[in-house]
Order: sequence, then C-alpha cells, then structure tokens
Amino acid sequence: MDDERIIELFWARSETAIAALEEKYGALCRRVAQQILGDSRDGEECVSDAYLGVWNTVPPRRPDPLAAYVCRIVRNQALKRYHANRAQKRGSQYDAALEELADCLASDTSVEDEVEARELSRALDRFLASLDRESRVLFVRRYWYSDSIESLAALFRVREHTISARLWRLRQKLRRELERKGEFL
Amino acid sequence: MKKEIISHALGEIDARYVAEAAEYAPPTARFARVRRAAAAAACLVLLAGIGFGAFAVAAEAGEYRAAVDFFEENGLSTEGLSRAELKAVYRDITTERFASEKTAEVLRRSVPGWEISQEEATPETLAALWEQNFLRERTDARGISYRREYSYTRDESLGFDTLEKSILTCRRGGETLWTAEFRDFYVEGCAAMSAGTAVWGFTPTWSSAQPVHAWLALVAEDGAVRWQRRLEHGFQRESVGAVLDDGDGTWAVLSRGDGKFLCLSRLDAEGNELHTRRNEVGNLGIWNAVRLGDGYLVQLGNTTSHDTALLLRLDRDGAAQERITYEAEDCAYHITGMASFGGAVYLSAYAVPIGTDEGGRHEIAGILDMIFAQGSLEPPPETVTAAVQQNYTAVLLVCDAAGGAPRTFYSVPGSLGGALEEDVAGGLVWEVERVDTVRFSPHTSAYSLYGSCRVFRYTFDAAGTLVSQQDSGETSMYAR
Repeated sequence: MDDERIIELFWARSETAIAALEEKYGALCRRVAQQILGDSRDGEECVSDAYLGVWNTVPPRRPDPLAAYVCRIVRNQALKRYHANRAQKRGSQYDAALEELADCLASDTSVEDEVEARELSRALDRFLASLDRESRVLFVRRYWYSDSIESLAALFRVREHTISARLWRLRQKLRRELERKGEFL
Repeated sequence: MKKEIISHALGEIDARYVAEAAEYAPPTARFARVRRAAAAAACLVLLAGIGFGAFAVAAEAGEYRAAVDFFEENGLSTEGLSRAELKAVYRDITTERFASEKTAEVLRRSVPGWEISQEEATPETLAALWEQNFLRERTDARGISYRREYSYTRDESLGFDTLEKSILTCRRGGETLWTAEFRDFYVEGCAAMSAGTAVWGFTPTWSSAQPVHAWLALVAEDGAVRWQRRLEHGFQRESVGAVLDDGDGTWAVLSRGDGKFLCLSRLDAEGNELHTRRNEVGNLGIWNAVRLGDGYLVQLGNTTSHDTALLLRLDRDGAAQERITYEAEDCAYHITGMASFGGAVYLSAYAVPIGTDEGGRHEIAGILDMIFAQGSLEPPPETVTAAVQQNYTAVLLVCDAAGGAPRTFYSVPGSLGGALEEDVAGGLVWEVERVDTVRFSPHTSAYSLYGSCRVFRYTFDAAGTLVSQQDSGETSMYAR
C-alpha cells in the first residue's frame, strides 16, 4: 500500500491504518528502536507507542515522507526509554555510534542549548548534502539508525573493515568541515 | 553532554536523508559483479603473465579502481554512470579538460545549488567549479596555488585505513613547481614566507582519547622539506590558524588550544620555538590574522554565537591589547578577509540589517519574512534577487597602524565583500561579489536561498585611491 493511502486511512480514522503502517514499516521501526535500546521487548513497546503517536498527529498532519516521520517518532520514544534505562545498562549500538561521532565535537562546552543544537543539525545537513548518496546513506544508517558495522557491511556488500574505514574518513571530513567553518570547534 | 547534543542534532536532520537511508537499495548486482570481475581479470592477467591484451585488461582495471577511489575521495556521485563513463569523467577532471557532458552532470549532482545558477557548462565554468568546491585551491596574486591530497593505507593492527601521507603540490598556471610529502600530519594550510612555504596541519587520530598536536614545516623553493616540528604546548588538542612572516626571519604562529586558548608562538628560521604566549578567548576560531604595526590583528569567529566581526589586537609578544566588535545599531558585519597594505590594515566585509528573529537565520531573516508574507513558496527569482541585493552591502574597512577601531573606507550596495590581497603590481585588490541571481528553495535542508554572484575586482593604490574596477567574468556561489 502506498504512503498516501495509509495516510488516508489515518485521516478516515480507520482501524486498519495502524495495521497498514505496521505491515509496511513495522520491521524498520522495530530495528530503529532495537538498535538504540538493545532489547527487543523494550523496542516493541516503543514501536506501539510510536504508532499511537502517529494516530494522534495524523490528522492534522500529512507527513511526507511517512517513513521518516514514523521512524523519528520511534527514535524519540526509544531515546526517552534509553535515557531512563541508562543508569542500569549500556552497550547498545546507539552508544557505540555516538561514541564515534562525539570525536567530531572537540569541546564539551561549545553547544549549550536547543537553538545551538539546531545549528549543529543544520551543519550536519550541509555536510550530508555535500556527500554522494552512498556515503550519506552510510552516515545516516550508522549514526541515525545506529546500524552495526556488521549489518552495514552486509547492506553495502563490502567487508567490515571497508565500512570502518569509510566511516572514519567521513568523520574526519565532518570534523574538518566543522572546524573550517569555525563551528563547534 | 557531547553525546546528548549530537543525539539531539541528529534527531533534527532533514527527514529526506532519514527516508533515503531507510529506503536505500543495496548496490546493484551488476555493480558488485563489475568490481569482482575487475579483480578476477587482474588475477587472470597475473597468471597469464604476458601479452598486450592482458596488459590492457590490467591497465583498465587499475584505472577503474583509481577512478572509483577518486570519486569516493572527492564525494562525487557515481549514480547512473557506466564503468566507461566513470573512467571518462575521472580522466576529464584529472587532465583538467572539463570537456565531457558527463563531467558537468556529475558536478551538477555534487554541488548543491549549482544546477540553477549555471545554465551552461563550459570547460571554464566547470574548472572554476571544481577548483572552488573540491580542490579548494585559490590562486594568489603571484599566480601560485596549492593542492592538498591525502593517501591512506590499511593498518592491520587497527583493522582500518589510516593516513599514509599528505601530499602538497605547488602550482603556477597549471604547471607543478614542486611536490612535498608529509607522513606525520594532515596538511591543513600553507602560506608563502620569505624563506619558502610555511605548512601546517594536525596529527591524524582515530580515537577521541588521542591528543591532537599541531605541526609546522618549512618547504624550500625546490620542494625540499627543510624541517618539520610538532608544537608542544601541553594541550590535548591544538591547531594552527595562521602563520605570519615577521619580516626579520621569524614567524608568528597563531594557534588554538583545547578550544579556548589563542596562542602566539614565535619560531626562528630553523623552526625552534623562541617564545609562546596564550590568551583565554573562549570558543572562537582563528578566521584571519595580519600584522598591525608592531603587533597583530586577529579576527576570531564562531558562527553559532554569531561572532562574525570580532577583532583582537595583540602586541608583539602575543598579549591581548584590545578586543573590538565591529558593529552598528542597525546592521551586523561579517568580516571575510584582511590584508596589510600601505601601513594600514584593510578588512573586507559585508553588512546585513540586524533582524529580530530567534530562529538562527539572522542574515536572511528579513528576506524569508518577506517571502512568507507574500504567501507563495515559489516567488519569482527576480523578486528574491532584488530582496537579496537589498539585504547586502560590501564594505571595505580600514584600521591605521596605531590601532583603534576600523572605519568604513568604501562600500558597494547589493554585494558581499570577498577576498582581499596585494597584487604583484603593488595594488590592493578587493573582490566584490555582486548578487546576480538568487532563488528560494524551501525544500532544501542545507540552504533556503541559493544562486550566484558575479565577481568584480576593485584595485586601490597605496594612497587608497580606487584605480580600477573590473568585471572578472568569474562567478561565486551564494547559498544561505
């Protein structure tokens, strides 16, 4: 079923809307949640909460692209739970990916509030815009979706060390870009 | 804290990228086979050992691999290119011919906003585009340009590639004057000195736990590396922002330490450090630096905090003397270049009206307000262009050697101040980027307004008199 039709079902308040969303994006949503939480049961609950979030916001919204919209809600739900669980456990792919990327920001004190985090987001957008598609997808899959190196190697049909090397170069490039522009030094 | 900020920032990236990654299809089987076939062909060649045909296959495979690496290194898109086309574009760019339509297509896809601002792709415009957006080479008034390249090698103990060497090439008019290699650091910048070329960079690392040291080197006129040294100032992270020739055989090296200190170090002709002085300035990058009288004038900046016209005057020993923010009641300034000339310091800048928005789009807030007030997300380019022209004024500022705040020396409405330097004939050349055509792009994440500027060169003599104003025929990209 195409996205427009799924959104129409939500607008019509049809109970089949969530089933259609689950059928099309359920696997993706569960993976997003699980990569952050490292636990399938917690992930499942986040996905259910996210579907409720979509139900409550569509209408009035008509999200386009729908995949990004639902994934973003799942990610936010998973992050809330992640922070709540953090005192007890670590070691998810999300931890590992953020650890890598933290190196691009040299200072702990450079970004202080939400507006400035938005500026960093804009800088990330500019950086992503400057990449070729494959590199951009690789970056987003690792640092937004928290995909493991192993799964990325399978996705891109290359060896794991190739993925590690490409990610390392992308991080170096990002850091140089941020420094060159005087941002987040 | 850092991880929370990154997590927050990542959460806000453009939804299209999130969707694109979610929907990404793996490389086609055809592409994967091509790569394997190339490797298989190379093996067969080795087994056969002789014959022109085999040699040709090996050479072709080698060129293809080089082309793929080249595309990857430069972030060029390979989408829709056949193996032959990929090699053809690689040859077209590396031989600097820029004659292929496919090259134009590749660059068009790889440079945001360019497809609209340049209707016709001539070899000249493509070469300029390549130079501006990929090589980031700039030809100075002597006709000299520098090219930085990096090669990597696999570190078996780490399991991934690390820097093998940085390669710096000095060129004049397309001819290579010298090439120098550095194995200990990433080359980040260079500047002509009386004794040769000062080169600086930073230690390659692969973990945030490793310290990042700044490096300096001197390359002689024949390309020989006379010396190289690591700065040891006790910082966890240090980078050089500028190196100035003091005119007495010593260099003044301006560096940043641990994201908050500005250091001035003096080095002798052999690279020995004679003196260093640090000032705590906060999270500000070194954007420009020149000698001013017996001391120095440094522009510090941070786009996040909107510090775009902050100047720090240092004495000869590097002690901070005065901090000046160039501003007016009704407009904000962005300093884009500095040059010592005729006993004074000139600053290239542009001024924009001060907005009241809190959304972070200060420079173009008024233009966006105007567009949204009109209620159309597709305003005609001429309306947008006129608004952008009205928003900017290029300004040339001057500071006398005794110090003091800069004052306006020359201004050009509808333009942005660009590069500023002394030419070989002894004049001061100021590049003024006149806003030419701008469009509104509400669906693009990296910018909202994009287009092109036409570059004019204004030349002043030592007395500060405007002696010529010339349309260079060049364009620069505008994107905000």
